[in-house]
Amino acid sequence: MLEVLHILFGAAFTVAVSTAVGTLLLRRLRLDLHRLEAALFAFVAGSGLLSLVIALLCVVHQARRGVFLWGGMAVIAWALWQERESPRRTALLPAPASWLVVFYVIFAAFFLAYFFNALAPEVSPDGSGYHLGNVARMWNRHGFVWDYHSIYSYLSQGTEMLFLMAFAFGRHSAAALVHFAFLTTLPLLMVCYGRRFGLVRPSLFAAILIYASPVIGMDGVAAYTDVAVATVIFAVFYALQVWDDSRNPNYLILIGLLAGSAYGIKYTAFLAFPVAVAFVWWKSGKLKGVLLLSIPAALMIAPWILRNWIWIGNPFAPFLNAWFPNPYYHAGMEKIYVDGLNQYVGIKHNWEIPLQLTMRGSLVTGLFGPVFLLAPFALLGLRHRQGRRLLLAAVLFALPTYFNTGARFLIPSAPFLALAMGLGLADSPGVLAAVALFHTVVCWPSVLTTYCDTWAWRVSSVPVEAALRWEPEVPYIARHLRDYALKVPIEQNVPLGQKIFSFAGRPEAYIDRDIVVQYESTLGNLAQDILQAPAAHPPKHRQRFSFLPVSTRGVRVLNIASAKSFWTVAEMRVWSQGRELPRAVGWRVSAWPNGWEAPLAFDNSYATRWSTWQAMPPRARLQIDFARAERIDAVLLECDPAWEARVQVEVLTDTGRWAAITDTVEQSTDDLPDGIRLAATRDVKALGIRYLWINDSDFCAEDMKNYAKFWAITQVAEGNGTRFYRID
Amino acid sequence: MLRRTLLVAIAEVLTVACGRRVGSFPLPAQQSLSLGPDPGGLRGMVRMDDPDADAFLVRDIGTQPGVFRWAFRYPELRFRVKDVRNLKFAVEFAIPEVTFRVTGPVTVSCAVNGKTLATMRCGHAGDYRLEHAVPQGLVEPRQPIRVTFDANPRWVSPDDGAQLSFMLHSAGFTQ
Repeated sequence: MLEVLHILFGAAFTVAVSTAVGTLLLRRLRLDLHRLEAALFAFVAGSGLLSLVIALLCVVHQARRGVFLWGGMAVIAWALWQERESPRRTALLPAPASWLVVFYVIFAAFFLAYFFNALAPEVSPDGSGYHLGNVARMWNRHGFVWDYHSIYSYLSQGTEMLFLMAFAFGRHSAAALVHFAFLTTLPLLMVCYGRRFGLVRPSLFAAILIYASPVIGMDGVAAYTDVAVATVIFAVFYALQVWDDSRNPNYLILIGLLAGSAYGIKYTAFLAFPVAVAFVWWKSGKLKGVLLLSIPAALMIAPWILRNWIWIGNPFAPFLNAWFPNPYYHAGMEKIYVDGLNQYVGIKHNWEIPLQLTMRGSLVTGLFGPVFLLAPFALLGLRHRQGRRLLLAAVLFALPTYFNTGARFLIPSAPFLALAMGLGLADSPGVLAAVALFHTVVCWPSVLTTYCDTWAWRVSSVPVEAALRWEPEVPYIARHLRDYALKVPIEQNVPLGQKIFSFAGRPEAYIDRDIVVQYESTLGNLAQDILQAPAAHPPKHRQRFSFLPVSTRGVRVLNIASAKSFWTVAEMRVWSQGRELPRAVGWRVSAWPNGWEAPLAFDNSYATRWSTWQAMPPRARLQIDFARAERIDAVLLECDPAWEARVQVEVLTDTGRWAAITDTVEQSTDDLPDGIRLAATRDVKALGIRYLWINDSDFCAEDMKNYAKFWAITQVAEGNGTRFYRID
Repeated sequence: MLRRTLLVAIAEVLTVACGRRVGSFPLPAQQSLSLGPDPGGLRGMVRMDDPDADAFLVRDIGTQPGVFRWAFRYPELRFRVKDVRNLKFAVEFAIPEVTFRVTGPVTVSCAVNGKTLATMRCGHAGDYRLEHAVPQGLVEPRQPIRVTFDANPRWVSPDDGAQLSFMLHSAGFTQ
């Protein structure tokens, strides 16, 4: 039970400090918010500012329990002290009592169901994976972990900063409860919005739709960030409407802070800032207003951009790597990753998508509930000014779905859509109440299970015993996360600081070792490429370019074609008079693109190779600069064939210019020397990876299982369809 | 003016980032190309502790993995080589003290594809290496090669009549 108290304290303390920071901000800005909306805005705005402060603490590695505790207590005390002098804020427009009763009964029922899910051990895929994986790593180092590279650690981490504070006291579940606080804030904020702008019944209706929506509920009880994003974006919209009415310029500061913190939570929320700027410019036409908004927004956005720029060399890492090349993530792998996210896998026709999003849920990772099939009625809201604005916001904030087809990427758009639906249906007597009650019933976990897909991501039970730790945490986690079974053998066998390679993502929040995942970093890409070399791309193909003897200080192979595939070279050798010119110490090697890995084409290993790691661009090249002029008459490329490449050999002339000398190639294949498996594990080991965590379905799993000795690996543990190997 | 200045500043900053040059690198350490065996195919040489050693055994050689394996009455191995130029055959084996005490000096011979290649007299217990050039035409590239051994006298078990020739460590073709 003590554990539960720690969890509750961690979450409650983080929410309290956020609210205290926000209260101080609102007091400073002197905004005329009503009582409930002031409390909600204080939490939302304060959480953004608090996450900024924690991010700065992470930079200087002072994210420590004592700092959080005493700093947080001081802020709470300061806010309480300041508030004692403040006049009591006025209440919002009253709502019909019958509606309020219905709303709060439904709200309470779902609140309890969600609360116990959030309090239970965190077992969501991304929550136990990278969200809390990053948090756990940061907690171990009390700050940002600069030597761990993963696309997921480059994303903005505004909510993770709050998770970190909660984690410091209550570990994983405390973090999930912080996200649950956002989940609970969102419908209340929507109700406040309705009461302020005279849309009481539509807003209560919409709040029920949102709070009971399965994907929103599931996301909100896990250590994810989508509901936090939706809450902040809605707060931006809300504050913009209030500013439009009051024209108090201080609202623009609040809006800027919120819009900036939306970017800080998730890149896809960057839209909040341009939308806010456009709205303010449209309504005021003054640069001053835009600046008043932009400066605080920049303050909130800048830490994440600067962190990545200084750390990775790419301010927008892990995206835009083609514009900002860096040694930590390949542009081509980014494209493959992004392309993979925007495909509807398993959906045969676009008409299936609405059904998936509302009733099925397995192919879009979640569902909103059948009532959202009535979404076209939202168009009736176009009759109202607020309806037009809500619908426009719904469309704009749904745009990120183009990049990721997961239902949760529609969560920021859903509150606007639900409100517009409420507006559209408000004139039909009884419809709002009937639809809201129907939604409540069909979205209740036990009812939902009767019609949605088995694998739809949703809250499917209310795990009271696990939440209160009457059921021990370990078996509960092991039942939900199959990889957890290997936690003990891994932590017993792998020394601290050693890296583990895996083709698949793992619940890294629970495994106290660094896991290098195949698709998450350049290091992962390289390890994967090396391990797949023996079976997938042994460089048996030889391309020989012969020419008349020439004396030169440099030679390069240049591709002049453009194609979608990568161009790879395992070894580039230079020949003279029928023999390979011995590689000399003074040689310098280079390449473009991906020059960082040029040495891999000159290491005399057939397990490694240089690759463009992006679609083959014209003028891609691999180059040797000799220490002194060398007489050469052939270049040999040993590679996996890239048939689309058109390669020519160029030599450096005395005038310092490159001259093409031949593009005539003799193609042949030859057997490789024995031992490429050994070469592969040797080269993976050279990357600093001593352990391999392989699923039985992975590409080389069977070969490793059957020929462990040929790979020079020893199986350390096995369980649930995975094997854990040590490289000997 | 302010907007222009901002635009120029942003453009400059972005240009600096995009223009990041990687430069060139010294040659990396050169790796060994041939590290050991691959599964799934015969080659020219086998050590008894190779992970795929069993694939080379035709008959009368122990299957218990180890640095040495017992060669029994008619030990036979198989190989395959890609290049037959300047080929030598070599076998490393040991006569254990325990059998030598019974048999006394042992004559070991080897035959390649049925033709005797070399013979050695082992006058004491210990390690031996028998090596001999392979005549042109005796083996063909990429074709199976049969190698048989004969030891005389052999140790005979008084219990069941089992015969032990020697302990084999490695055998195969080199250039």
